[in-house]
Amino acid sequence: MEFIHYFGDVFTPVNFLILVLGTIGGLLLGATPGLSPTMAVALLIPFTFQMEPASSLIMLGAVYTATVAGGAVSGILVNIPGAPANIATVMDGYPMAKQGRATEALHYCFISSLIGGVFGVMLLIFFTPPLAELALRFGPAELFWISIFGVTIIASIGGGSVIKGLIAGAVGLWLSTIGYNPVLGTERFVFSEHLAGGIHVIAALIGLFAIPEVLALVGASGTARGKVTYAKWSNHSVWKSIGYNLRRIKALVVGSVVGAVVGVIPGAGGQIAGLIAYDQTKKLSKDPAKFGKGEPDGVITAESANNAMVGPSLVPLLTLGIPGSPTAAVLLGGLLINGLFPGPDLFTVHGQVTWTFIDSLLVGQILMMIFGLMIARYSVFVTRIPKHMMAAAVIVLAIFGTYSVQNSVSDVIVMLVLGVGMYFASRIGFSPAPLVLGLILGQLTETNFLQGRLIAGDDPWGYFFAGPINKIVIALCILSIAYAIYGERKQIRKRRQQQQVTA
Amino acid sequence: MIVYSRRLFVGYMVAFVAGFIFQVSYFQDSDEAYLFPAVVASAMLVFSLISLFREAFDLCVDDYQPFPFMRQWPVILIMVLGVSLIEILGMYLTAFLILLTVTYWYSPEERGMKRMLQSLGMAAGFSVTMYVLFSVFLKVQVPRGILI
Repeated sequence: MEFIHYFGDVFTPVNFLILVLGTIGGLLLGATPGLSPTMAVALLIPFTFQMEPASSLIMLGAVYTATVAGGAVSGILVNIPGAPANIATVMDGYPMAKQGRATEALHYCFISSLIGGVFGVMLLIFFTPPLAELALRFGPAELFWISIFGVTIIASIGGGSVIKGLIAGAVGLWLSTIGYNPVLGTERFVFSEHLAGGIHVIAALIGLFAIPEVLALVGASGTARGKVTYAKWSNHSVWKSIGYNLRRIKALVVGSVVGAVVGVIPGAGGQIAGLIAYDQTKKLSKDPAKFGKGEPDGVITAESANNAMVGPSLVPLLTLGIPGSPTAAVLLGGLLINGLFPGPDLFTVHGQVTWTFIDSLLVGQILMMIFGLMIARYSVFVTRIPKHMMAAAVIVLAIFGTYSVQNSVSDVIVMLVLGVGMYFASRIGFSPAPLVLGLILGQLTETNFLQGRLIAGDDPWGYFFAGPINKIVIALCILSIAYAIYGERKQIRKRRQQQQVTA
Repeated sequence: MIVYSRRLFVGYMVAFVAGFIFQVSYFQDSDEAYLFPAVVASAMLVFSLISLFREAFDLCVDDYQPFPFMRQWPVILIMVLGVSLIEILGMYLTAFLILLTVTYWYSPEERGMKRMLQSLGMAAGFSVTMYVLFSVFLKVQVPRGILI
């Protein structure tokens, strides 16, 4: 129950103000179509450099939580999900809004987000410290395989082609080797003066997530605005919504449990959590035909799932350094920048910062519901910001944010090159998530690899492939790839059958 | 046929890049310093060859998405020019020019005074916000140019 002692630190004037601003900002950013939670957190990291570590993590955590819930607003009101995590919410949220029940749908969205979110954070609180203790038993070989597991699982579960995910993960690992060897200090792959210090993680994060969205925004600017239909408003009592929401136990339990389980699996993310929970609730419903036509259970289960995912997605991150979602991967960058390394030290040496951060996630869930209910009606205005203005603002924020990391124009150039390159790569099936994870975990992987070789002496094979933990993690790597290949093959077969039917 | 050729082209391109990375990583004098990148580059080469094999024998789905390059090249050019001008014009003037050109170029309004005024207003407002945020509150040292 150590977490209770640190609640006071969340309520210091500065931290609480940051939490409130982060929550409101996150709700508005989440409601803005085209701004994903991952990009919002990546763009915000440079703003937190001047803050204390606890305050900076509170800000990033609040934005992470609130953007996931805020993304439902534009989904419900204008049928454009603010983030991929809200795709399942739109299926019933928008039909409800079209029936004049937008207010009611938004109430269910924020109330179930709070319930799912609190459930997820409680799991984070109770499961993280024992798992972190387990991490104490890990030596360089185990940590090396854990890092490889992080890259392979995000490459294979992240959706799309498995082999392209693995290539992207390998590219990320290789890019992390540019600059200096972390053990021997040798300079490597410095093809240009701009690469002399290596590729800074934050510059890469901003480039890989923000610039492709800028190009997508300008590509779509002036095309979709005319077609948007805004929902009609109606009055609906919040207390009535709370009462109804609490009676939908099945939808809430399915959503929260599915979200928590999916969150712990590295790389799975909120999008999958919402869709699986929606599918399961529909199957368990007495009247599945109502789903997709404005069934409140659809909104309740999807939103409780994608918020229940947030807390558990931080469990593998804080214990082993493996993020549970792309946004958690960006958050890992924020932790490292503050000198906080995943593992048991987070709860002993840096206990105050870590527990304050986790407690702020809990308080943030409550603030998210309060402000969500208050500003949902007004946040629809951000969905009306023209795409070309959004694109211009994101470019400037990306440049300022990247520059402020090390006061270096070289970082800005690297950010731009990686971002434009990633946009074109994404068009041919490559995802930025495995690349980013490879880049973040690269140095840790290489350091453990080289230290392991020094310890192993003449028998590196025996060292890296022996021991129960090594064998389990290697088996998990193979299983995750095999499972993803199986899923991909099933998808290919299904598509071919569909093509044959249409032909 | 066009889809198949395009996919095959992508497969060859990825294999070529992986081959280049393998070449620069593997053939180095200091073996120990380049050991990890060489292992990673080898894995990358193997994956890219598997990918090429899958494309060649039609064992995967087409995940290509078109991109409206004709709409996108101006913003890429503006970003490149902007970054190259940062140290000459200064951060705030460059930011103002990027905002002005991007919002003007991509505005759905008819070309004219209204479009220019909208872009000017947005660019000025956002530049001032960035100045207050970065120079006043966060005290970040940004490149100063001919004006500010």
